Amino acid sequence: MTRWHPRLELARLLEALSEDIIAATDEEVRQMHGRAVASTAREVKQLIKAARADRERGEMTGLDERGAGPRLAGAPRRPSHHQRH
Amino acid sequence: MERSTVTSGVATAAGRTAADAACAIEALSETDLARLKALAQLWSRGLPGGFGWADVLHEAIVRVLDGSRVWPFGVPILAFLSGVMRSICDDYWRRVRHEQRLLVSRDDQSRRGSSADPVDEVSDPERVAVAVAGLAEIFRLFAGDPVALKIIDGMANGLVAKDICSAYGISALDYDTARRRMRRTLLRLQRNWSEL
Repeated sequence: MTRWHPRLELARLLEALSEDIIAATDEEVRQMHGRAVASTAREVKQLIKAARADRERGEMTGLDERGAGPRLAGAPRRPSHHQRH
Repeated sequence: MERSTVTSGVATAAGRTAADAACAIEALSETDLARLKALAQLWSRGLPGGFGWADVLHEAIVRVLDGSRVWPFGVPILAFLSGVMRSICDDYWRRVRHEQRLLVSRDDQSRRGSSADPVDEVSDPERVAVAVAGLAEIFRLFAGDPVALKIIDGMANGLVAKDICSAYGISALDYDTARRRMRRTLLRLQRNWSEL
């Protein structure tokens, strides 16, 4: 009997599904989102803008937390509390 | 896409500069941004501690912009960002498990040594349980579509399209049609995966 490897299966599946999302045509994306595609795009743009500002703030204050753990979007980068162990 | 003329840092043999990546992210179309959200939702499903898709995407962008993740040559920007998000989610799960183990080890001194060891993923029942729940979520997502479920099962087993068709008796046409339905389902999914 073959042993079941759910973690491996999940990893393969998520990889395949992510490729599906990337491979979706513009038409398919627009069909699925309709007019909401513009608001979704705006939402993601805002998030990118916030991440960029976050990065620039880090540069200005001399904080370079490479290796620091992830934080909630918009949460300030903290030098000590979120350090990866 | 045009290559950036403004660079921060020098492109390495392995990849482009952070400024190149910043320009590519800036140039993403509306539909690419919608794909990016769908990818963030896919990778972040089920993360504990209120860490959601926006947090994962935010973190990915920061790591790309600060140069801690290098965009390799020949990899499309969306595929690269998807990989960065996957890695962030893997790291997050690892941290959560590590912290849980530390808490447990406070009450069990004998475990102190093993908590610093690399995680034995094979014998980690919690991680297996999370994976089983993740698989169940995905199967539930396509529950009403028997052909999609066969494809999902085949993909989970590492089969390519031709082998899936042959193993499950699916015609090439039915396969392509089902894959389109699956893409639409994934793109339509705006709510949290945990609500499935």
